[in-house]
Amino acid sequence: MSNNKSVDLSTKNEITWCPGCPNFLLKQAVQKAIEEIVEDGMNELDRKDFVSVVGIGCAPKIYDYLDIPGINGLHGRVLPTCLGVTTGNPNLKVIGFAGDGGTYNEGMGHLIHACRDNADMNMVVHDNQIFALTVGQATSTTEKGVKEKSTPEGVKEKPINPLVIALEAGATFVARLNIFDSESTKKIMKKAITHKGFSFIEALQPCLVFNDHSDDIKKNAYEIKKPKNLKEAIKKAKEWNYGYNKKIPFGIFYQNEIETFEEKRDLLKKFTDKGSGFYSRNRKRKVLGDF
Amino acid sequence: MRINILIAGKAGQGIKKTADVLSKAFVSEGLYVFNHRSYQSLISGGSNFNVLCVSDKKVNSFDRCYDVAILLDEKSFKVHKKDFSKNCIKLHSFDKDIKGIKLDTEEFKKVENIYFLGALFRILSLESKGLIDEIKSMWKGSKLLEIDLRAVEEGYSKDYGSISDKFDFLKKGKKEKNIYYMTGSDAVGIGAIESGLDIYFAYPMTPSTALLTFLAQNKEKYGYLTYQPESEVAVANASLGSSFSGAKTMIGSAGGGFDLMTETLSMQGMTELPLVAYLAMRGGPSSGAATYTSQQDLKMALGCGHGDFPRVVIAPGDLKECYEKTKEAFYLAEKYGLLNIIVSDKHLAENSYTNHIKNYDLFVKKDRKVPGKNFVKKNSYSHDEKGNYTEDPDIIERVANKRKEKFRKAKKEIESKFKTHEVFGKKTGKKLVIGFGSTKGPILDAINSKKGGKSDYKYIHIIYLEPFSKKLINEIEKADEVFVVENNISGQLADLIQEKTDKKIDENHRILKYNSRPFTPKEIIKRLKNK
Repeated sequence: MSNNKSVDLSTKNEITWCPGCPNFLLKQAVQKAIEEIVEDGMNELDRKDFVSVVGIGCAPKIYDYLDIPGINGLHGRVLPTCLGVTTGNPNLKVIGFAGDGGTYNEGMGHLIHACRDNADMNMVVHDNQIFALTVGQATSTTEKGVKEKSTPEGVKEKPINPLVIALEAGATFVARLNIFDSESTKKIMKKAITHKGFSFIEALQPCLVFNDHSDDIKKNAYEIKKPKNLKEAIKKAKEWNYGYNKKIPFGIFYQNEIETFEEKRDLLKKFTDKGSGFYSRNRKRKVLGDF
Repeated sequence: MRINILIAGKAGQGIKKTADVLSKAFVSEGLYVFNHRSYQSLISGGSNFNVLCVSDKKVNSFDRCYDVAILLDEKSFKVHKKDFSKNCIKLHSFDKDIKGIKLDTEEFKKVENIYFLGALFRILSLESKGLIDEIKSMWKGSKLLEIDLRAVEEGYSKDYGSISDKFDFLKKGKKEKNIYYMTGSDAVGIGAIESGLDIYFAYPMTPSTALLTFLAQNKEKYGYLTYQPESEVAVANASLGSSFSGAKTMIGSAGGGFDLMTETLSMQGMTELPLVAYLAMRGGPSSGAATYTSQQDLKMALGCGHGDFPRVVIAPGDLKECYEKTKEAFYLAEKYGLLNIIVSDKHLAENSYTNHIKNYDLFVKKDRKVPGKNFVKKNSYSHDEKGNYTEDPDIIERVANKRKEKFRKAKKEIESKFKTHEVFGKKTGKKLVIGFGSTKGPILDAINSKKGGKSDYKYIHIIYLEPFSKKLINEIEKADEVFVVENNISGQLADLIQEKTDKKIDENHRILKYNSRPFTPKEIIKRLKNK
């Protein structure tokens, strides 16, 4: 059922990303994806059913620029906050937005558990391979050897590969976005949002000021065909290890729908079936006498 | 009159269960019981014990002066020797010639604890039916039940003499209404369930784990959710997420685990999402004495989380208060969007005892703007009334004033509607004893006893530490001399009283205990007299 109504999720808040920041591209594609889902009447979703959950950094500013409900929480804690939101009301479409610093440094433990839990929610990591809002320090996906303010001698460790970690930890939807390709970004986002289970989406979003790899990404990114199985997906994810002058695969690496966190819990399953949540309940119980 | 019964041995010998069965047998006879549990942080071995203080009158504490000692290993004899009363009856089976009741048949060696319960009931000249019923109920469906029943009967059948004259009050139990036997954790859990709890998030840490266990075991029956995420940090952040989407949410932890949650509690202050947080104190600092008690985290509860934001801090002192004050915490959280911290400790959270509790009718419906229904935004950054980020000084000040005003209103309602403190003892007494939380039991028993100089002291038990009520301030300022009793080394409550009132409480007026063990009434009497 289509709403036949054009939806605009822009807000009037002043956008404080740097001029030309690739975050604009990502925001526009994500916004378009949500707008189209609402316009197409997909699952009868309204814009009020979407929730942005963000932490601290440049990426999280998207909270102010999307006209959907949202919670702007703490650095590195987007994932447990998302879990809380969907547990309170499993009918909401929860989308977490955070940077590589928050997700891979401060909050890596949460990522592993989010993959394991498979709650029906989405995590978009704006990976610019740098702490940008704090004006340039290395994160765990910064390329080895790069000199940053807090590592003048150059980063000594190899970057981690979050896609491989997510796949190994049991994520049921894993994708990488090339945000310079707006159409594919929008398409992948729509698939992620409508995927039943945890969607992990990494967006390569270079920082023009502190770590600009825009040209590398534009030159080297290529869209993959979805791998056949988990083993193939991991192999594909290992193809690129966050260094440059190498081909960068993007697209959907893996998708598999299995029982979700919500489906495994009767109470939450009932909410999903009925289209309700804890918000609609007021259980005044009298139980003292039972003990 | 009271009897103090010690049951001691190694972890794994069934000490807790033995104590529970015995307590319940006494409770079923209409007696009052305080069942103190002391255990080490290990799974088997070590030196654990329970003390049951039983009476036909209310008991709020136990004493380390044992009239009966059931000793399941020889080490226990050595450990507790100094606390045996003059005519203490010892029941044991180890190879040592000590006066008392010795089990000498191999047949019941494995279930000697149960054998001793039979023997104990016999020497106290009590009917064995209640005890047998409780054993049947505790080991229902277990392979051990058959031998347990034979053991209790064998123990009961032997003539070991009688001490019933001294403890004839044990026959005077009256079955009363509204008597409950449970732990403080259970009572907090019941309060939460009745308040309409939707989700309890927690990560296990002694002594807060007992609440997680209680709530997890009852969730199917009453229709709410419990979840144990990967860490306390996840607990706290998930709780605000679920509060945002419309759930009545509670979290719980102890010491270090609570520390981990405090960054997020500050976010509660900023977002004003309703939240109840349970803090069960244990020995500290750091990992401390994990399975023992203390009151070292009062200042943490009052001051945790960065930034300046209002919160309510409630410290129930007994089962009835655990139940009622938890309901008040949920009420205040929902109505005012305030953080409510319920402060308990190991002594209150894990000891089982009898208390009069009546149904407490307090409930508030959720009235929240939630996603799915509204364009609601909640922001940990400074924000305008709609939740949009701002750095505008006027808006920052305006929203901060709104939070302050909210707390002022909550304070007004708390002072007019809820019991913020209780006054006991001699109402006109000029010598005032003050405590909070679990010290209520031993202080009450101390000042009500003859030895405690029943007529001398006035006692104030503080329940609401924040807000600190006006009436309470007046009550304290009336006293000539103030003694503060608490389980920590610096006197955190005494400091708070100094801050809130015109009283100065010097070292000599701080009755402190910081060896991670609870006060007993005798100790309090002695230390008050020495002042």
